[in-house]
Amino acid sequence: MLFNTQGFALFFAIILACYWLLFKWRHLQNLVLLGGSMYFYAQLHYSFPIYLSAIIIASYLFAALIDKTDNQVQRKTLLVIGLCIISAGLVYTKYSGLFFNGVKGLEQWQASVLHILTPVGISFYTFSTLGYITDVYRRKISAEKNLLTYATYISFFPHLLSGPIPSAATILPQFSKKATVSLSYIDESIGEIVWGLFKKMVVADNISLAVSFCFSQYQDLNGSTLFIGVMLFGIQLYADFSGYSSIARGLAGLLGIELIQNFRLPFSSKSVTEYWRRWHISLTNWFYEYIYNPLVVTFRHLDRWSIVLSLMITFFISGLWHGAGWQFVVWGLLHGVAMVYEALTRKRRKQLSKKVPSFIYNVCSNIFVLLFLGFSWVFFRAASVGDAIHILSRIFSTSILSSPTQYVAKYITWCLPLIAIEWIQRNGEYSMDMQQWRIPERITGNTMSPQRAVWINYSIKVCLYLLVCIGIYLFYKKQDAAEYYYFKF
Amino acid sequence: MNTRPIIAALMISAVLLNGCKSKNTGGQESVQQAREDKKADDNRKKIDDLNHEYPKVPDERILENGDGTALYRELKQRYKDETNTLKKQVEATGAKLVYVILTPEVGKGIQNTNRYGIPYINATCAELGIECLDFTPLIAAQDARVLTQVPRDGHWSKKGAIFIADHLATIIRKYSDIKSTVTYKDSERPETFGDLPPNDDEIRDGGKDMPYHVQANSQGLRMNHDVKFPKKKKHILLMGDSAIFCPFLNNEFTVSAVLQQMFPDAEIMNSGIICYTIEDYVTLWNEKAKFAEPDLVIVQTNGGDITDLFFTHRNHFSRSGKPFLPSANEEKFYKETYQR
Repeated sequence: MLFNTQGFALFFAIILACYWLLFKWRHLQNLVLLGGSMYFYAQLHYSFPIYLSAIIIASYLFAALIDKTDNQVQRKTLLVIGLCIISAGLVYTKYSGLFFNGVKGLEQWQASVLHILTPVGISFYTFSTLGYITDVYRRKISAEKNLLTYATYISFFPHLLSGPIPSAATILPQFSKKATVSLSYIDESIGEIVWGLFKKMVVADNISLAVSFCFSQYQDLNGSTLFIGVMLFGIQLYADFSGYSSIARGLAGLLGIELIQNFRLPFSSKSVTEYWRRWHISLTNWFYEYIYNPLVVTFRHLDRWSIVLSLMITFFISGLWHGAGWQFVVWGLLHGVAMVYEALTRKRRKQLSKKVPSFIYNVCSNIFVLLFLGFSWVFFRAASVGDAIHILSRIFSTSILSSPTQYVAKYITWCLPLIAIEWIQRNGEYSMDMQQWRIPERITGNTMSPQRAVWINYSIKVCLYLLVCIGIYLFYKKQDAAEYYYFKF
Repeated sequence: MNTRPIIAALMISAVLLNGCKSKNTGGQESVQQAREDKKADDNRKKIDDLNHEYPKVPDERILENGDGTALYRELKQRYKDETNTLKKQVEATGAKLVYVILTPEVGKGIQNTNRYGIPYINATCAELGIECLDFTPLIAAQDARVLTQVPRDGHWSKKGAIFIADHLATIIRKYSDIKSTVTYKDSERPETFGDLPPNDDEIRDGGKDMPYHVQANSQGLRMNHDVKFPKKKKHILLMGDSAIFCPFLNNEFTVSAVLQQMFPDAEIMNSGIICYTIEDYVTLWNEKAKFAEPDLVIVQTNGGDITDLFFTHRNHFSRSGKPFLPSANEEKFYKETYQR
C-alpha cells in the first residue's frame, strides 16, 4: 500500500477517525495505531508483521534487561547480544546474497535452502531498535515499560517503511502522553502531505523514466545526455525520498506525532559535510550517534587518524546500509574520502574563503559539491560497479561536448517547479509555509484584526493546496505508480 | 521545454473556438458532426458496459479443447473474411500484399494459438492467393535468448530486429518493381497514416522498467521523418502488432529502422501497434494507411490474430471504437469458462 493510492487514503481515513474518537484513551489509540500499522505492513507480505513483531519483542526484552541491572559487565554483555540478535536478521536477509554470490555451491544452497524474503523497511526499523537499546544502555532513556507503547512507536506506519528513523528520546514519549493537535499543526501537516505528493507523483515519477532510460541504455547515449541523466537521478532521489518523508511527517502530524524533518535543501550545500547535515538527517544523526562517535572514542589514541578511520568505517557501513551491492560500498567510500578531505583541510579552506569574495566562493563550492554528488550517484544508481565505470567513461569523454538528446533533456522541466518552490520557500518551516510572506498584512496593512488575518491566511492556503492538488492531478505520471525508490533499502 | 501545459491550453482554446465556430455556422456540417459525436459517445458507453459485463480476455483458453470447437471455427472464418477484405482493398490500389508469419513463440515454446493458428493462416493465404512467408522455422533455429529479450520480455532484441529485417529485406528486393496505381490529392489525405500520437517523442517503459524511446513522425508512424508527397521513393508499409512496433527498442533499433538503413531509396513505414489484429489492419488501411500510397504492404501475423478476434479482446483493444457483441458461440464459451 503506497501513500499515493486510494487504498491508503481510505485506510488512513479510518485510522484517523478511530484514533481521534478514542482521544481520551491513549492505550486504545496506540492499539488502533499498532493494529493499523500491522495491517499496513501485511499488505506487502503476510510474513512481514511476524518478523517485525519478533524484532520488537527482542529489543523490548533486551532493553528491559539492560535497564534492570546495574552491573556494567552484564549490561554490556546484554547490549552486545541484543545488538547481534537484532541485526542478524538484517544482515542475513539483506546481505547474505552479496557474500554468497560468486561462491558456487554456497550461492545455490543459500538460494534454495536459506532464502528468506527481505522485509521492506527492515533497515529502518532495525536501526530504530538498535538505537533504542543503545540509548537504554547509555542511560540516555529508560526502557519503555509498556510493550504496547513501544510496539506502536517502532511499527508506526508513517515511518515504518522509509523513515525518518525515529529517535527514541524524542518520539517514544509522544506515544505515552495525551495526543493533541492544533489547527496550525493540521495546516502544516496537510501542507507537508500535499507537497510530498507533488514531489513524489509529479517530479520523481515523471523523471524516473528518463533516469531509468539513461542508466539502462548508456551504451547508446552521449556523455552530455548521461550527465543530464545522472543529475536527474539526484533530483529523482531527492523528490522521491523527501516526498515520502514529507508525507510521513504530515500523516504523523495529523495523528499528533511530530517526526523529524529529514531534508533541508541538501543541494544548496557548500560542502559534503554540510550536505550530510541536510540529507536524510535522521540517518546521519543515527550514524553520528551510534557509529561515528563510538569509533572516534575507540580510536582516540590515533589522534587525527581516528577521524579518518572513523569516517571511512562509518561511510563504508552507510554504503552497505543503502544497498547490498559493491557499487553502494564504492559510493559510501567516495563520500568517506570526501568527508576525510574536508575534515583535514578545514583550516586551509577557511583561509581560502577569506581571500575570495564570499559569493564566488559559495557558488563554486556548491557547484563542486553537486559535481561530486553526481559522480557518486553514478555508483549509487548503476546496476554494478562495472556499469558505473562505463557510464563515467562516457561522461568523461569528448561526447560530453556534444548536445544532449532532446527527449532526455526535456525532462529537466519537471524539476523546475520543485527547485523554484523549494528555493523560494527556503526560509519557511516547510515548503508550503506561507507565514513568512505575511500576505494579509501586505494586502490590508496592519489595520485588520488578528482573527481576520488568520482567516485570510487559511483561505490563501486552501487555494494554494488546491492549486498543487490540481497540478498533481494534471501532471502525475500516467503509468503504473513506480514503487518508492527507497523502499528497497 | 515541457509542452504539455501549452498543449493543454491550446486544446482548451481549440475546443472553445470549435464550439463558437459550430454555433456560428449552425449548418448541416455541424449537425452531422454532432450526430457522429453522439454515436461515438454511445459506442464508448456500450463498450464500457460490455467490458464491465465481460471483463476477461481469453487467449490460450479458447483452444483448451483443441481447434475443432465451433467457437474457433467461427474465429477462423472471421480471420479469413477480414484477410479477404484486406486483400481486395490493397490490390485495388495496385499494391502488393504479402503476409509474414512472425512470432518469437516458436519451437518448444509454441503454444496452441500458434500450433493451430499458423497452419490455418498458411492454408487461408494459399486459398485466397496471398503470398505468405512463414518465418517461424527460421526463428526456431535461432537462440531465443539472442533474438528476444527473455527472460525480461519476449519481444525482439536489437539482434532479433536485425535478423527479422534481414529476412524481410528479401521480400522488399523481390518486389522492387511493384508500383501502386493510385495517387491521392493532398486534400484527400488524412492527417495521419498510423495510429501513434503525431510527433510523439517520449520514453516509455511499458510497466516493465525497460525504458525505450518512441518517436512518431507527424503522420503517426513510428519513424523519425515524414513521408513526402508526391512520392519519389518506393513506399513500403509494415502493418502488424508488437512484433512490428518493437516495444523495448528505441526507434533506431526497430525492424523498420533497420530496413530503412538497408533501403535508403525507400520509405519504410511502421504502422505497428501493440495488440492489433487483422480487423484493425483492415480499418487502419481504409481510414489512413492506403493514403500513404504504399507499393508493398507487409502484414505481420500469427496465430494470436485469430484468437484476438474474440469479442472481449476486440472491445478492449480494437481501434474501430465500435462495440463487439458476443455471438452465441462466444457467449457460451465465456459463460462456461468464466461464469461457471
